[in-house]
Amino acid sequence: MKPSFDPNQPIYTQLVDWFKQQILGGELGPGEKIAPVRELALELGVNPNTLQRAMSELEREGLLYTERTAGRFVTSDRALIAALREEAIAKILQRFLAELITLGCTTDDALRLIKKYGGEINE
Amino acid sequence: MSEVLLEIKSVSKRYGHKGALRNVSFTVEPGKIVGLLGPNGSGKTTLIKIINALLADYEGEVLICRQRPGKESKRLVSYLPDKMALPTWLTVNEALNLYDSFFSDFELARAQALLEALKVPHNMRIGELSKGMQEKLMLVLTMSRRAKLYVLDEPIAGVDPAARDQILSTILDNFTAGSSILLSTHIISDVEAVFDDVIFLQDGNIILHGEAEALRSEHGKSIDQLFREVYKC
Amino acid sequence: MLVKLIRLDLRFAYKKFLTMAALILLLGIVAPYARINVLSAGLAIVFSVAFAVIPVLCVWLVVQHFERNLFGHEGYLMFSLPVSASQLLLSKVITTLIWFNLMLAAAAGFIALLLRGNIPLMQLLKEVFTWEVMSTLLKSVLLINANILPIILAIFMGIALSTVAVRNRKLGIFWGIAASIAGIALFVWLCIQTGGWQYLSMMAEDQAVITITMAAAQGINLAIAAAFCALFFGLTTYIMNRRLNLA
Repeated sequence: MKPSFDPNQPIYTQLVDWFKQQILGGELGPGEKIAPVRELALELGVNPNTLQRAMSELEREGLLYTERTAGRFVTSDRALIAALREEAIAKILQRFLAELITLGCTTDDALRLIKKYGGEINE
Repeated sequence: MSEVLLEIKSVSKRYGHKGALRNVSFTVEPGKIVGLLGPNGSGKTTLIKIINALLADYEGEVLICRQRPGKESKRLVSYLPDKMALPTWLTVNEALNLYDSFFSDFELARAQALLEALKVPHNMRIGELSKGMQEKLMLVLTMSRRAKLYVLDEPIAGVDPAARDQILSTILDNFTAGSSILLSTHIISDVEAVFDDVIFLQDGNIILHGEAEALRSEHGKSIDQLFREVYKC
Repeated sequence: MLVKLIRLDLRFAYKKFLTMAALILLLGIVAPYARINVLSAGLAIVFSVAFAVIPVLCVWLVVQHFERNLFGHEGYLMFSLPVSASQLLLSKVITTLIWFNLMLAAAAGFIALLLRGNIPLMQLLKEVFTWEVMSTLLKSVLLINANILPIILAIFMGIALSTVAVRNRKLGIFWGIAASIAGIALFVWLCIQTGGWQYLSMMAEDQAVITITMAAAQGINLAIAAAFCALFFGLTTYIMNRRLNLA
């Protein structure tokens, strides 16, 4: 589960995105415990301070929380995760549809085509 | 800001007419991993020797926890030289005992476990070990101290990429929380993700100094790429 | 810390020095049999080689260890230890004195063994182990040590000086050797100049005068040796503290 970073971009934003992906995609379940920063930094091959910064950002957004003694956890707020997940999906769809529209494709066409080709993608 | 760990104030060093370091200034704060980057001959080792009191004849001021390099600062700094500094006539076990008896912050059990993990034989004479094993032994001894500042001179030069990962994780896994690392290297691509700050040295001058993340977003480039561009001209 | 340093310095060559001491004693045991003609030619060669090589080897071991351990790659470790320059130097000096006295003892043993045909060993030991002989013996050993010490320090100072010129090693070595030789020469010259007293004393007839002049001569000698030791020690630690520049 080691991500590959694009060294041309700040690693901190990539870490934030990667964690979001893990949480929204369910790899990191609600309420799951996160490994200590030092340990995780070593595993991911990044600077502990950078990882700490990414974690703080995620805490600010409410995706992670810290319990003073027990450590750091993924939020148990399923509603929040669901909402963010939907937001993320909406963003992808908007981009996707915008691109299809440039090809003269209507929303109805798109739905029909998704049904037609979606099955193939899943397999 | 918390107390500065290492303070370099307008340090210069001349060899004859040639300047090895020119008015170099920077600070290292606790908990930071700082990359000292530059090609060979850019002054990295000269600076590191000054920090470790191996080069006494320089201008400017160096302070380690407010002390000049000397007997007291050596208790706080764990130093990995770029040369094979261990007496080759000692055995590995004798070298462990040497560190154990001279450095009160040395953790013998940690060192033994690390040597075990890196498969360095215990009972051989150091002179009989391969060069790679000797380097691992030095790294283990350096990282088994609970120092305030680790000064590592080219720890990943001259090893293959597989061993590079092993060395890096030995460093990151063992340095004391809250202590700092000053790591010099001319190979950047594999290690840049671990740096908080980077310092680019060229001909004894600092030509670029900043937070690694800030430099990445400011230039839209990796530190490695930045390094290549800076040193081309 | 000093004791730990000495232990480390002794570790470097204790096997070699003990072997050489054993070899000297062995030669002493074998020597009286040299009267048998067949052995004598071979033994003569072994003797002359041993007596030419062993002192050179001892000096070489000490000089080489000093140079490599402090100013070679090993210096990167030694100067990273939390010890002072004077402790590093003192450890080397004490170790060298230990080796010197070991070889001195081996040489004395060699002579005793050589003479065992004329004076049986037991008798020799009985005569030596009297208060009077032992105290004179001890005094002369101390005097020898006091006079060898400035010479050792002069050599160490020269080696330290030779490393200061990083960019021109040859020039550094030249100045190092020059400083060593000049230091030793000055010390020996001063000793000879003031040592005239001793010979003068031998011409005196009054026993009391002899004793007093002898004591005075020894006192002056010790004072000169101490002054030179302080000078050479100070200069060497100055180089190690202020002019250090490991290559």
